[in-house]
Amino acid sequence: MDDSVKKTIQKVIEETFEQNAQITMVSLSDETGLPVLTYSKDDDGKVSEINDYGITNRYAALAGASTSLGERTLSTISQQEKVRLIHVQGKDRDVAISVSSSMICLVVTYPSGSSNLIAERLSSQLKSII
Amino acid sequence: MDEMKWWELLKASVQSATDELDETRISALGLFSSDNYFFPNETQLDRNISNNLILLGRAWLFLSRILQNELQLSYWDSIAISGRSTTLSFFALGFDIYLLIEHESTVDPLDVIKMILKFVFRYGYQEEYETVGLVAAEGFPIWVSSIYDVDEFLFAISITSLLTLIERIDLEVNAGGVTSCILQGTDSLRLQVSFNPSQDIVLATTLSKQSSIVAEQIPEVESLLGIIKDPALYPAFVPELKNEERERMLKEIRQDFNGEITEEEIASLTSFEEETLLSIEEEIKSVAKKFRANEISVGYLRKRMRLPNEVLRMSLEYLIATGKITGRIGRSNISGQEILVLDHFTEKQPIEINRIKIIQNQITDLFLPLENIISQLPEITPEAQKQEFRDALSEYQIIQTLADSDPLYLLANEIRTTNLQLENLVKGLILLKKRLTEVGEKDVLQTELNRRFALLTDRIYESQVNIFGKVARYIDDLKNHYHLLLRLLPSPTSFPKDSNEAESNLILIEFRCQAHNCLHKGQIQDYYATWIKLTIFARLLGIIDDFPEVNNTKTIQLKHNLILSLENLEKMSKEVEIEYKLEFYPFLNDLDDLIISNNERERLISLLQGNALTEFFQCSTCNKWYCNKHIKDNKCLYC
Repeated sequence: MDDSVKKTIQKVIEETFEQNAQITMVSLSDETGLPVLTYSKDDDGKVSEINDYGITNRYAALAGASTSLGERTLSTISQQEKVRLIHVQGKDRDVAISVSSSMICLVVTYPSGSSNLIAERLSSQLKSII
Repeated sequence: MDEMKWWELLKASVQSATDELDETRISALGLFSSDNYFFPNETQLDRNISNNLILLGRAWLFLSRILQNELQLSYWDSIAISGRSTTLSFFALGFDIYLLIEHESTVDPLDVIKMILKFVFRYGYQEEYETVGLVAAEGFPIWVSSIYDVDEFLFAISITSLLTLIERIDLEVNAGGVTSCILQGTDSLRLQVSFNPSQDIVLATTLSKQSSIVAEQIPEVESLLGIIKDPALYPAFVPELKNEERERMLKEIRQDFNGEITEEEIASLTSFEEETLLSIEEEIKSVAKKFRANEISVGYLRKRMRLPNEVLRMSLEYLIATGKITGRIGRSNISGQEILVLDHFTEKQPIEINRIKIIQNQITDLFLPLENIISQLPEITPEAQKQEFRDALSEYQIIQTLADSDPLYLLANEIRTTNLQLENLVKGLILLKKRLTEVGEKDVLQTELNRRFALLTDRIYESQVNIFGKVARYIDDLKNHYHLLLRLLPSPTSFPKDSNEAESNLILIEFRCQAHNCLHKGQIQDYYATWIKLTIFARLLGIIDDFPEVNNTKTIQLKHNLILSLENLEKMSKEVEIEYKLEFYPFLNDLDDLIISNNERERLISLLQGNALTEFFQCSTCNKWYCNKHIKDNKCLYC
């Protein structure tokens, strides 16, 4: 991925954090499951990029594994459907994984933070960039 | 959903569930609210009983208010009042509506709730959803209903994949326990799963409508689902035989997750102190000792110990491997839950062993061929010769006790249940066959479908062998049963030619002396159908030579056909190699029709007392009944 594209993505993610106070983390990975970018908000509300490969790899693996498990689930009900969105609502966190042809986008928010809507919006914004 | 709508939905569901319930085991089912009540089978209920139940329901509402308001219980789900053989169970179903079930104590009332839930979904839910399934979190279908050809086992397995995903996400992002998950497909499919409070059961629904707003679950349905929340409420049942295939299948499913234990889990495992393992061990031993339980739900242990599933599994495996506890991790074949099965955990005291031996001996005695016991009765009880003992313990009373119909009904029920399972398996296999033809050779699903196919085939075979054995036992017991009954009751010698079942209560049934040309006869009225059953078996056992002429032969023919079909299955049980067939046996649902119940027997006896029974006597050699002119000292003039 060239630097200009990466910068545009970074800008979009930062804007997303600004517009949605509920977000605690955004992690992007590509279609092969490799981590692209991971942003997280600390306890003071400061948003920063995570560069630790141990952590970014883990979230990319989580998004990849979730997508394939989701595919497996959907395949018993319909042969045509592929996973577009996984939305898991927990008591402490709201998690959404949006899947597009070029990117998997993982968004974590506080409970009832509409992570599904944020992830879908982010996904469609990124689709137009990449 | 408003209260009225919910009430109507429950009414319709209870009504439909009633038709599928075993009414010999569930004597009453009713709904109550503060200003209304509903009995689906009210017309069949005795008016007094129905009034009493209504009174009880009202009293119950009052009590429930005390429980909630005065005693400040924040909520309650169910309460049961158990007698020796009957239990009254009450369940709160939301909106101050309560369900009352009067049932045999051996019946699990949750099965009734599950049945009602099925109809709640069918009537109230499926208008909107295409597939609705209740799946045990371990990956077994409790039931699945779909407008598509969805194989329930595959559906449950696919939901397990989703649960693995959810558990993983929960651990990785500290989601704090997941309450629901939505999986949205690229076209229009939306799959939603919700957990019950203890996360043992999952409600999965699918919807194929384009909409950005997720459809809300019906809260009352969730409260109904919430009733089934305690794993301990599930009857812990371990299959007699370990099903290697199933274990292998589930192991493979879990592999996705097993291979990738999270860092937190590894950390928590490596930092496991001896103390934690010790406390798990102590918990297991204390539960086993306190409840004399050899089976403990793994879900229960997980919650008690507050440990992630994988960590608990690994520690249990560690405890088993090191011999701290002896047993294995098994699986309940009803709920599909994991259970820890302990091997001979409690050392039996010599006194207990002795007691068990005595009981076992008595049981063995009970199952000796009845004919021998009866013929030995005077010898083994010489006191019976004395008049006072004769009165107190006559052969008549002994036979009456021995001719108990309950074990037969139980066996018939067992056969029915196994046949129902067989029917489901056969239908599943037919579906799978169809699915296999649709799936391409290179499709990843094919291996899974093939494995499932082989598994189902084995299970069908096992079920059939099981049924053949049970049917052989049933026929044997049934013949013994009638053999005894026919020592208490004479077989009718003629039914009037114009007999009609619809007017069975008005028919005169005749008992003639079996002596040639003797005109002595007795007549009674009533219980036509029961006399017919007795006569069929009297002919089958050779006690009468010919079946009396009857106008309406349809019922008799049906019963004969049923007996013939049963005898065919009995023959199968004797074959050395049983051939596999893709079939189930609908006629096994009618086994109860062949039995004369204790109540029926008592009615026939009381009907005959003062009539035929005092005028006719049975020959102890040929078992035929004669008038006092043709019998002497229990022997007829012809033997």
